[in-house]
Order: sequence, then structure tokens, then C-alpha cells
Amino acid sequence: MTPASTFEERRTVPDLETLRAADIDERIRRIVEFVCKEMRITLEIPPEEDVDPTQPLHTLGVGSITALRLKRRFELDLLVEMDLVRILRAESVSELSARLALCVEDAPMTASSGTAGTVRDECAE
Amino acid sequence: MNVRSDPWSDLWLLRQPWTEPPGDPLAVSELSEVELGRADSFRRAHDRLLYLTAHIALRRLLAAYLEIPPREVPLTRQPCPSCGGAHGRPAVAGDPPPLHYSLSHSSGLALFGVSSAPIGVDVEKIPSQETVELCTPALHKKEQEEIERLGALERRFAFARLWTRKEAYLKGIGTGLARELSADYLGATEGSGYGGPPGWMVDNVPCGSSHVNHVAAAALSADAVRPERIGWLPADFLFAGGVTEPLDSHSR
Repeated sequence: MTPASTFEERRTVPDLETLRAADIDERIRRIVEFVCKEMRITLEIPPEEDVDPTQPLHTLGVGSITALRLKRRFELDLLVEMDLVRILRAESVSELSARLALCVEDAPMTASSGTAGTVRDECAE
Repeated sequence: MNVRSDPWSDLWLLRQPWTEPPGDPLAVSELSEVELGRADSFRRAHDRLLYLTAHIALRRLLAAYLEIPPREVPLTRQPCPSCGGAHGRPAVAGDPPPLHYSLSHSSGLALFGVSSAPIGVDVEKIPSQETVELCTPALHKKEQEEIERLGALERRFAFARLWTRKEAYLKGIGTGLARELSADYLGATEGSGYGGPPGWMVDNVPCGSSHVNHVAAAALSADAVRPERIGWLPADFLFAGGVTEPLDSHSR
């Protein structure tokens, strides 16, 4: 299976080098845009409806499978590992994107893990 | 409270109303302030309605088993098995609790499990092929192999059936999705004779008609017995003044 190549025309995958070169605000903005677009596709949100990045994810209709899909997107496209529960309990897309932006910035990809950063604080509320 | 002492379990399903009926208002007064606040946080009207529907029905269902008013059902959270924080499995308060329950809702359908022993349930809308392709590598190695052997359409159903078994099991053991998805094998196929990890009975639950959009599953501790019935709750179960006791005597 080649998940990263499926439905590419509908998606906007952020370029990692561009993300790393951007300042933190711009990096967060681009990741928010990416996450909102991904949610729009997965949750089949019509174009006339906004995905409000200030709302908790569960209030936007994100359930377990959608959260897993987001987790896999973060791993494949941003090279960041994030716990599923952290995604489900995120206060907002903006908060989630800020965490991702810090991981993209802080940890260059390692050959052993293939990931840039990890967010593991699944029990924090 | 008056609950049977012998091992038992029941499953209940409920379809969400299309819209909130103006003439027969939902029994929202039976919900707690926390539940009402959470309902109001939903962005889309049908998500809010599903949350209200599921939680009114949950309180009324548990109230019928416990023989107390719905608003007085003492809902709580057990300690998280990972960190001990107050965000573990949802439960009825008590030491030991008078019964165990699990609730899941997705895209217009709610599933309730009520039992004398720990139970987990899950219901999901069947995901897209793209989502299945993306998510399958997160599963147990053997589960991945089983799914990848199938054709595209079968794969969507197989993934959804497997996912609901997995999530029901993880809810049953109390960790929820904090546990690694690849840690447990839930890849039972029909007729394989595999019923789930040791100490648990895990199986899919019929929840639809010929137009199948949802799949569901339940996981029961081996201390319980297989569900005696899978019942549909009537629509008026949700309305103020509606039917509040769909249970006959054998489920008490």
C-alpha cells in the first residue's frame, strides 16, 4: 500500500524544509492549515463550513479513527510521532499545531526512528 | 439500587432522531451541567443531537437497571490505569460499582453495553479506503497481514470490524487508546474460533439493516456471560414523559 500517494491532489502537504526554515508563527500557521484541510477531507465537511481551529477536536466530530488518521499523517508528512490520546484531547487545532511545530523545529530526523519528534504525554489533561 | 447478582450482560442500540423534535422535547433536564455544557460545545447540530441522545438514553437505561431517577445515576470516572488520574473508564460510582457500562456513538448510532463485569463497546461508521490504507500499518502485525490479504471493498469492512473489536477491548480493560494499538491481537475472523485476548470475549455486534454504514463490537470480561440480548431502544425513550423503562424483568 502507498498511503502517502493516495488522493494527493486534494491534500496540501507542508514541505518540511520550508517549515523548518519558517519562523514559529508561520510554521504554526502552515500546520494549522494542513490539519484543517485534513479534517475537512476526513470528516467530509462541506466547503461552505469552516473548520474552527480554536475549538477542541472532539467538538468538530473527531473520533478515534479520524484521530488515528491524523496521527499517521503527522508521522508520514511531518515525521512527528504523537500519541492518539493527545490528539483526541487536544484543546484545539491551534494547540495541536503548536506542539507539532515545536517537534518539527527541535528534532532533526534520525536514521534509527525515521521520525523528527515525539509527543508522548497521553495522560496529561 | 436493585441489580441482579448472577453474571449477566445486555447490549442496547439507539438511532439518533433526524432533528430535535419541537413537540416532544428531549429529556435534557435529566442531564448534569457538565453533560449539557459538553453538548453545547459541539460545532455541528447533528453532533450535538447525537451526544444529547446518547447521554439521555444512557442515564435512563442505567436508571432502569438501578431503579433510581435518571438524574440521580452517580456517574464517575475510575482512576486512569496508566497514571492514576481521574480520567479512566467511565463508571457508576460504588465500591464495587453496582454494574458496569460502556457507551459508544458515531454518525447517528449509539451502542450501550451494561453488564455485571467490565465491558467495552464501540461503534464506527465504515471508513474510506484511503483512511484504511493510512491506518492499517498502526495495527498488530498479524492484523495487518489479514487485512492486506483482502480486496479493497472487503478491506474497509474488515478494518472497521477489527477496529471496533480493538477499541471495545481497550475500553473494556480500561486503558482506552492510551495503549499501543499494535500490542494486542484482535484479528479474529468469522469462524476462526478466536474470541479475543485471554480473559476476554470480543466479538462484533449486528447493528444495521441491508444498508450497512456502521459496524460495532463488544468486549466482555470472562467473568460475565455473553449478552442475553441485543435490543433497540424506542425513539420515545429520549423524550420527556416518554417510555423510561424498556427493560423487562429478566434484565434486573
